[in-house]
Amino acid sequence: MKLTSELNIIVTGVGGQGQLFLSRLIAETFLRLGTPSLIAETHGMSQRGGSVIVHVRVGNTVKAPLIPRGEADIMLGLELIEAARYVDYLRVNGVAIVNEKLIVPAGQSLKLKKEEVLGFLSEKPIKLILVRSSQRAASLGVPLSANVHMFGALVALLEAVGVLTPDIDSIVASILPKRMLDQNLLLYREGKGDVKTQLGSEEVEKIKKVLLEKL
Amino acid sequence: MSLKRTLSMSSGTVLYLGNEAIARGALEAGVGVAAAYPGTPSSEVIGSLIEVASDIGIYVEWSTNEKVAFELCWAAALSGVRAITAMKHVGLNVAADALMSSAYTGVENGFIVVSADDPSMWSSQNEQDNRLYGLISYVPVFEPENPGEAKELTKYLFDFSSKIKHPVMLRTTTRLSHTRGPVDLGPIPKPKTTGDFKPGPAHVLVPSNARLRRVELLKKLEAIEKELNAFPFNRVYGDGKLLVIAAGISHAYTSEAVSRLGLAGRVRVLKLVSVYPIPEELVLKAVEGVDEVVVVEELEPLIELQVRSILHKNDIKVRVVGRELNERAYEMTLERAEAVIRRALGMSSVSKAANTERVQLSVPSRPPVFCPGCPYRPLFFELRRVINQEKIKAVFAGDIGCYSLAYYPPYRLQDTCVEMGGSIGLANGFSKVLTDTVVVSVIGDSTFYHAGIPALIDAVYYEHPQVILVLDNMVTAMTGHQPSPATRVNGRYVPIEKLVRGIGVEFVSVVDPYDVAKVRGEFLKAIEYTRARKKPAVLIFRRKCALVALDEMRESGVEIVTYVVDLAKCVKCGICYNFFACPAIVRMDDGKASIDAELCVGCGACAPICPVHAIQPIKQVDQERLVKYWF
Ligand SMILES: Cc1ncc(C[n+]2csc(CCOP(=O)(O)OP(=O)(O)O)c2C)c(N)n1
Repeated sequence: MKLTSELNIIVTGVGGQGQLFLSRLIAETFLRLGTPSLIAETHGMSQRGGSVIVHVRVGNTVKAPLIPRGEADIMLGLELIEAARYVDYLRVNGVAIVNEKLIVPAGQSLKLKKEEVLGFLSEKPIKLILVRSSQRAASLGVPLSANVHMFGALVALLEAVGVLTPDIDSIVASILPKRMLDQNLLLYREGKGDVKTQLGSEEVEKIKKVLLEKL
Repeated sequence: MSLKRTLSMSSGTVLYLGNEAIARGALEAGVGVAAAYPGTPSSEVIGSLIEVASDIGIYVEWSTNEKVAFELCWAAALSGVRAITAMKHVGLNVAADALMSSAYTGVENGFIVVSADDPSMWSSQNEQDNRLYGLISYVPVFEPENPGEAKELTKYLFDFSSKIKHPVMLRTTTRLSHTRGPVDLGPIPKPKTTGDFKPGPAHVLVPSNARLRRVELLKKLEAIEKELNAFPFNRVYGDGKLLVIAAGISHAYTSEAVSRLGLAGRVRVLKLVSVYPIPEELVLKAVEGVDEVVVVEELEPLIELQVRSILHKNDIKVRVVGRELNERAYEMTLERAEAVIRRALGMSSVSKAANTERVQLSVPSRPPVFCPGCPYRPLFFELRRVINQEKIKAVFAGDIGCYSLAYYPPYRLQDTCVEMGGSIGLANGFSKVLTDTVVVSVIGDSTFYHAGIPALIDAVYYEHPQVILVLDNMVTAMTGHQPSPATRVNGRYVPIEKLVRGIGVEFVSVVDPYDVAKVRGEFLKAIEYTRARKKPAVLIFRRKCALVALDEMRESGVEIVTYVVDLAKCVKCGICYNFFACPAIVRMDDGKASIDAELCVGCGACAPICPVHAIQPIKQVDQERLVKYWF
């Protein structure tokens, strides 16, 4: 565990996609390693299919729940439009791991195309990593577990830059939900593998530099 | 980890929501009675206690409204049993009458009133700072800054309240109530759940007694203020020529801001937890030797006013800044705390590299919507249709609940939405002054029991012609499915139609909102009745909240059969995706409709609204067999 300062993570998506659970997985994992977190959750109105943003702040120096705009190190985007809405929370050269799923806001005939959103995100001065979490989760018969795949993706990133070590897997196995555990473990591993193959060693060095500037 | 799952632990660190932490603190203090009416962001305090009530052997209920909850807890505390109630900021308006008198009676054992405020109005109709209730009620107010402190403070406040024999207010905000963070657990003692009540004049506030109590109360508040000089949660740290004062979540931001500005140890900080009354000696000690005081405060300048008055009273001439630097609307952030301290010190701001505005994208808004299967969708769809087709001039006095979402297109059927019960109440007035308009009120079951009934009695007694739509989904849905008196518990419930008839309403009809033909027919009949007879009519639209019904189906292993659009039949009329507007129905590029199988819940509500019967289940489904899950 190399976390000496703080790690700020934004989790976004559409109400019902499991942002809260994903945030708790992150905080619970770090707690098992002895590092506290604060999670600013979104409840109430916005959970009814609305736009959701959760702030996860990991580290011993963290006192307050909200991450200032432009200071998140990592964004986990469970949905494309919501990832675009909140991408300004990321700092320059921050990392966005985004699920390639677009959910049309109900009752609106949407003209925005998936390609436009992807184009927008890829033009930002950030490191964009795309994953197919929803697709993978659906194909394993657990469509609501896209968040577990995303969690795997995050763990792979944090392992690559040395914040987490591979022995994390046994901790993760103990905190994943017992229901459908086999599918969830599989998704977690797939998410990890997915990001590992996407990250070249040069890139890892770059991200490491950015994250460790303050870590 | 939930309160229930960690109940057997008596040490160790777990992650709790702020509200769960308060509930845990109450258990560790031996609370015996808890009650509340739900409201974001307060609900998880009682929500988590009710889950463990039978394990611990304490009494916990979801009450009919905040006043009822408050009174139940107050009586327990008057009888020597520790009690806690929790409500959202506006809930305390409903319980305010009780709060005022509770200061006059005092209590025998600890009584905590949790007020959960909602700066930035994430889930509320207004932004009020309930710390001000302390000023008017003489109930001391306390504010923790994170879940860990919230638990310790709750525990401590039970002892404190017992000691001063006075109710106390624990004030939180959304960012504490709904922030999850580490909490250190302690043992849970066996609770005291029965007590005894000693009658006395303090409990009978007839004027002759109340006058004496008023004087006692003033003395008591002074004594409490003195006592608070030694309150262990208040603290002074660091040193310098500037004193920064902050409480609650604002202190959390302030302490980070101080570090980020490189001022740690170089300014003096007074962290307050007791925000009303603020102990005078503590403030005097804290200002000794400083040149300037800055208060970092969210919403109203309550701390600032008290500090100013203490300094003024003691003839201390130190500059105090607050109001001129703090923004009064919306919640505190790190940026705001930093800006206040920077400006107080005359430091310039550091501009940081932004993640560019080079590329623009207009991101569509995503307001919350009725869930797939929600009984309100076919109801509002049909009401909008009949109003357009019959050119009815109507005003819809709405209310607060999931149905408030009918304000948004395509339904646009909430002309007012103000406060709980405000629908029938405003409609009474509209019916007197809008004589050429059909006056309709819309109110959910939970809201009806909470505050709708007195206004209905008025409508009956004074013959206010209005069509009252009671949306009975048999639960308090918006706040997370707490029971309402319409929720069946072993067959027990309070039937709305009986209640309404008992009050004297003659036109009462119970309608399934999925049955759009009947929705239309009964709505028109009710309008006719109110026009002809000049009296109120009540339509009760009954069907369970889809989330509840679907949960029960899933638990019973019922197969969910989704629906599809027969593209050969679809005529691209757009009724389903433009006006019915279920999230599962999407428009394809050619204008035909398509159903997203991932979102469809198989409710079948859309099938009857398709004029060409193009929407069908993917295979034979016996909807009759499923009916029992919906009622
Ligand atoms: C005085 C007050 N207490 C609590 C709330 C929080 N609140 C908002 S909506 C709602 C529930 C409404 O339930 P119901 O009327 O049954 O409608 P549903 O959400 O089930 O459609 C509550 C409790 C509030 N806004 N005001």
